[in-house]
Amino acid sequence: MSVSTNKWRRITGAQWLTLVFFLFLYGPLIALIGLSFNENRSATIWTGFSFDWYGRLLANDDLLAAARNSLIVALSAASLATLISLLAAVVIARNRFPGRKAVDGLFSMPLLVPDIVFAIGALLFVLTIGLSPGLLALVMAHTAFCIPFANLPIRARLQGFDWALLDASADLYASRGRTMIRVLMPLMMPGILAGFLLAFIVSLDDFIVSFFVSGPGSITVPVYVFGLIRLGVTPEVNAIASAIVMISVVMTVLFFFVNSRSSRKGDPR
Amino acid sequence: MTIRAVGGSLSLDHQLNDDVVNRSVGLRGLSVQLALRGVCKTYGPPASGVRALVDVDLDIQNGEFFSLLGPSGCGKTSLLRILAGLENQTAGTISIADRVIDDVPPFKRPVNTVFQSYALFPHFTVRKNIAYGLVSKKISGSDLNNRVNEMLALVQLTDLSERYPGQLSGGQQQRVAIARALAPEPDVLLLDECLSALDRQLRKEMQSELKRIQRSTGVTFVFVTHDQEEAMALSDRMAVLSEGRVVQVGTPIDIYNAPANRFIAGFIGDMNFIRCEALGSRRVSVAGQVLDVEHKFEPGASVVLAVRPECLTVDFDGSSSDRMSAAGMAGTIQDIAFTGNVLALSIELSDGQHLRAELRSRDVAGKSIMPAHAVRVGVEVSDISIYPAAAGV
Repeated sequence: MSVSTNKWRRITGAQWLTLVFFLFLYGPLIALIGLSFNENRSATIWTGFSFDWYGRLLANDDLLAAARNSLIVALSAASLATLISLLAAVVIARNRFPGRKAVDGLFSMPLLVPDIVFAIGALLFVLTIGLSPGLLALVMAHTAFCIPFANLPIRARLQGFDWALLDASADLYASRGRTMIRVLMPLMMPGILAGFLLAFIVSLDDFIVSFFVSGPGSITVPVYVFGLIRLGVTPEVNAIASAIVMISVVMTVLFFFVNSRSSRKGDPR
Repeated sequence: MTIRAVGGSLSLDHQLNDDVVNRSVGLRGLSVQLALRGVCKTYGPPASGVRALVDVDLDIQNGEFFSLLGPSGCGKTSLLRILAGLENQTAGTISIADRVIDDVPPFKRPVNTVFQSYALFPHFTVRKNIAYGLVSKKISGSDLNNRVNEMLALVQLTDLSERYPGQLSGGQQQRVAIARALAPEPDVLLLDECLSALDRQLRKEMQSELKRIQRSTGVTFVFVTHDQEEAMALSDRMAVLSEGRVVQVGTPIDIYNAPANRFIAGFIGDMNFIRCEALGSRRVSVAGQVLDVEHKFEPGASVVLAVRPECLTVDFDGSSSDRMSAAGMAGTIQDIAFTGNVLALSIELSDGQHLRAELRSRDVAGKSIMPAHAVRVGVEVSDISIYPAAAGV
């Protein structure tokens, strides 16, 4: 690297520090994934390689039920959050009205509220409207905290949107519906997809809110894992956690792929 | 409001009915393609809002290259958007080929637009961009292909038809925008300041390109610009707008030679404005010269004399012997700018006013012209316009 040839520019020890930092960041994950392939019953003593624990996961009905709940909640919450964000973002981007900035800001506010505060609020809200904790309550609460995440890429996409394109489409004999389908949607799609994926990951990984608003029979995977840990860390827990990590990684890679592809292809910006 | 229509030879009141208008135009063997009667646009509440357009009356003829010229904020872009149907006028009527289109939405108007930002669809290829309007009109198969190919050839982009707009230069994007707007065979093509994003060289090229395309397609072009040189170079006729009103309509030559008021005199081309004293009802005095002009005004009134820089003659020797007997306005050369075919002089008159004279280089070849040189500036009475003095001059 040319940077290191300029001695005065060099920050002593920066390279080593970076290495230590990465170890610190990914060490626990690597240990977790490694130990999930341990054949020993004890989670921390390595005796040999085995897929045993993953096999057991598939036979665990409680876990599969929790996984089903997690998927239902994440899919519905991410879809709803994406839809709401899209409509709101279009309205905010297209119109000038008093308090527009404030409304825009309100969309990101929940990012700053501590999870525990939001969780208590969500539980109170659910109880106040006479709903009992359960899948519906989970979907509602997850939708709420997913909106700011779904909103981020959608808003970014709209920021540079050339509204004259809609005029041009109308000018070229396309009805409102056709303009939506042929122009607005295709150009917004990368933002919509990215927003959906981000909301999906966030919902899937949530523990605190789910812990508060899930009821008996409607727990999600993180809540189930928390229950298991109270009996001690077993390789089974390691295997579940590893599976969650892998799903998250796949989603994240997908998210970046969607994002970078959209900024490369045929975009004049 | 009274405007001049058809080359400035007719005065029409907009309350006259359309028959009279059509008949008068018909005498010249042309037909009115686009007619505007009393078009107004107000943003905000009707009483207190911003008046972007006030009582605009225009007749634009079939196959004409017509420009809407005015400084920014004069309402020309609002007018264009109203013609396209993207905005609605507050009052007044617009008709195309005698059909009133006030309530016709943009996607049903036989009008297409070349947008200022081009507004090409970034996710479609050049070919698909050009086909967009045709596909919307349910044209398909070989008809579609032939028309798109025809348009590609017209704007010389056949080789780039599979590229995306992001892969094209500004000039190429401009051509795609024109082809896309012309493909559905509109009755009227609107162009919104579409050359302003290009650099100077490309702009000149695109100007002649536009002219060529207009002549070969015969479509009525309505071109919006703030660049008077561009408007003059391109237009058959043009309308000058100021503060939402049409101030003058005519051919570039008519408007250049006989600006209707002081605003246009200053806006179109270069103009010297010289304050002067009215001695009699048709006589003024300026910098030691008395001129008898064709205009009539109150003796003693303060008036402004307007004359084009190229209409002035400069006598470099007149000062040498007897100053007083020489004809013309006395002055001193302040600055000289040689631009090849033209020699531009900045001259300070004896009364302290400044003016600019443009001489053909070959006419002054061999003469010694130096700053601080005393000169006499001559002017023909027929080249002079006189306006009432306003604040600021």
